[in-house]
Amino acid sequence: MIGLGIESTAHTFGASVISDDGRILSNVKDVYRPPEGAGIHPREASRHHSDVAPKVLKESLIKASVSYRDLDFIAYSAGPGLGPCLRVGATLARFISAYYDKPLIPVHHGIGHIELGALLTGAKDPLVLLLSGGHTMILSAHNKRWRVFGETLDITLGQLIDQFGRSIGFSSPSGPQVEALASKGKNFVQLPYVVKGNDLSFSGILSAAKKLLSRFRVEDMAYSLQEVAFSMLAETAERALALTKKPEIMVVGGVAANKRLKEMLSYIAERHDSKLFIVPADYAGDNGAQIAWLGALYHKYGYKVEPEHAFVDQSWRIDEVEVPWRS
Amino acid sequence: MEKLISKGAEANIYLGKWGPLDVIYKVRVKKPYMVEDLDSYLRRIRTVREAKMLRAARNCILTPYVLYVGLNSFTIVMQYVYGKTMKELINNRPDLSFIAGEYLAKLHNNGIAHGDPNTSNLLLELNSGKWYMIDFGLSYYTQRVEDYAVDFHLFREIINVQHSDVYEQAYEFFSKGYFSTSRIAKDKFMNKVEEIERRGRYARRRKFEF
Ligand SMILES: Nc1ncnc2c1ncn2[C@@H]1O[C@H](COP(=O)(O)OP(=O)(O)OP(=O)(O)O)[C@@H](O)[C@H]1O
Repeated sequence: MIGLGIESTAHTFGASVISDDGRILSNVKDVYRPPEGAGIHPREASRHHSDVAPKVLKESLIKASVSYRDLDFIAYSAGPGLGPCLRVGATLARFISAYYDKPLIPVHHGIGHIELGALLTGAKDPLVLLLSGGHTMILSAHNKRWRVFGETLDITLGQLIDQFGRSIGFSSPSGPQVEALASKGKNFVQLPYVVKGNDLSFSGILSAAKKLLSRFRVEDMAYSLQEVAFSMLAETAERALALTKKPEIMVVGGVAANKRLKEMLSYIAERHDSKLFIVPADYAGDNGAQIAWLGALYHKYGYKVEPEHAFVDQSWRIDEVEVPWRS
Repeated sequence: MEKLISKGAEANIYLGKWGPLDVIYKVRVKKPYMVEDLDSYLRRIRTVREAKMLRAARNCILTPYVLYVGLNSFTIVMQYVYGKTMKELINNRPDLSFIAGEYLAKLHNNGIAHGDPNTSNLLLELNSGKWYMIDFGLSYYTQRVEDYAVDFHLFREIINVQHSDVYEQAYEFFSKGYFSTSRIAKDKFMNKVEEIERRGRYARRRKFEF
């Protein structure tokens, strides 16, 4: 069995062909880059996606040496995300599904990050840190659901980094650039450290860091921002580990690529006798494979929608989604 | 002489003696992964805050007596509550979360947010049958309904993830306990809670076929 996954929640338009035993046959993407210092504009991004879609789709099929007729299902990212962007992927998926008469499977983008992470790292039943552009969450699976242990109360960690990056002229997403800058920082500047129970708040860090840019070196601000934000996350992750006693912890989503964060989490994992898994950098950011693989998992359980009932949900809650393979 | 009974994320908890009394030593340990400045700053303010708020909360609920605060060693010595946590009991007795709701509302009525309400932070003393609330390191004075709603959300979140088999019942009793005591109107309060729960995710909730 093989299937196609289409990703278009935010910056990335991606397509991937995957087999139901987890071999990624192709994974092609094209990332929309807003002008430097500007944020993502949903309509501009969706225009980008429409423009690159034919090329990306074609390439993903060629690389996998298959044609649409060979596919057993079509999966697409139905949310959460930006409405205009989501609609590009969903419309294409619906069309391909209807035209070639293939089962259509809408999937949750965040769960895609998690399940692809589990496939690639081999983690079985981990405590998950989902750190993508649209999510900052700590989760664990129980009773066929991914349950939220803790989350951000305002902006996500990814947004904190990107928005800080933007204020110093980087184009989004700017994680690697902010990380490189932070590694040159030396002097720690205190920023608002806001942890409430297992939840986090990053908006205070962002406004304080922007304000303090006029008084401190930009390297020191990037450094301090990372130190405070990652320490908050590490602390809540540690609390969750102490409470759940999970033997594994897995980090997925774009921020997973950050070296300093990895260093902190390695320490915590060791202290609690837990094994740390980090999604490979190539698959940390949004991609088609996460959608294709999640589609493959659902396909085994016969999940699908009729093309006329295709939907997108900009704010689809992760804990509402049934994941039958997770007891 | 002192026995380690819990290794939390934040602190080690030892059972020891204070004169003739059984006491708990709560020692906030160094987190080597944090930069030194941040680590010592957090340990200091949380130790101060916890000692202060454990005492303040005694106006309206039961908390362990604070016997000693060591600011250089980041240590609080407090009364030992011999008993069980709500976490150990709730799966068989979801109705116990009524107390959690009541205690939280009492704190809020007195202008205090707990900051970390969960089922590990409520202790049932076996001799007296009385409930104690602990772990006030993230606690603070506030008059904002929003802060109270965050507390409420945190407790709901924790029972949903940690006690999911009894979540529905436990939540119902928690909510009953809370609104039996709170001075805030239920509708207004729940709107706030839902607003908070939406915020960290995507701003608007919209699902549509197209
Ligand atoms: N006064 C007390 N009497 C009896 N047991 C206590 C007392 N204080 C703490 N404990 C035990 O130690 C555990 C951890 O205590 P506490 O929540 O204060 O520490 P913590 O390190 O802040 O925990 P967390 O892991 O939630 O951060 C409690 O759940 C309880 O079992």
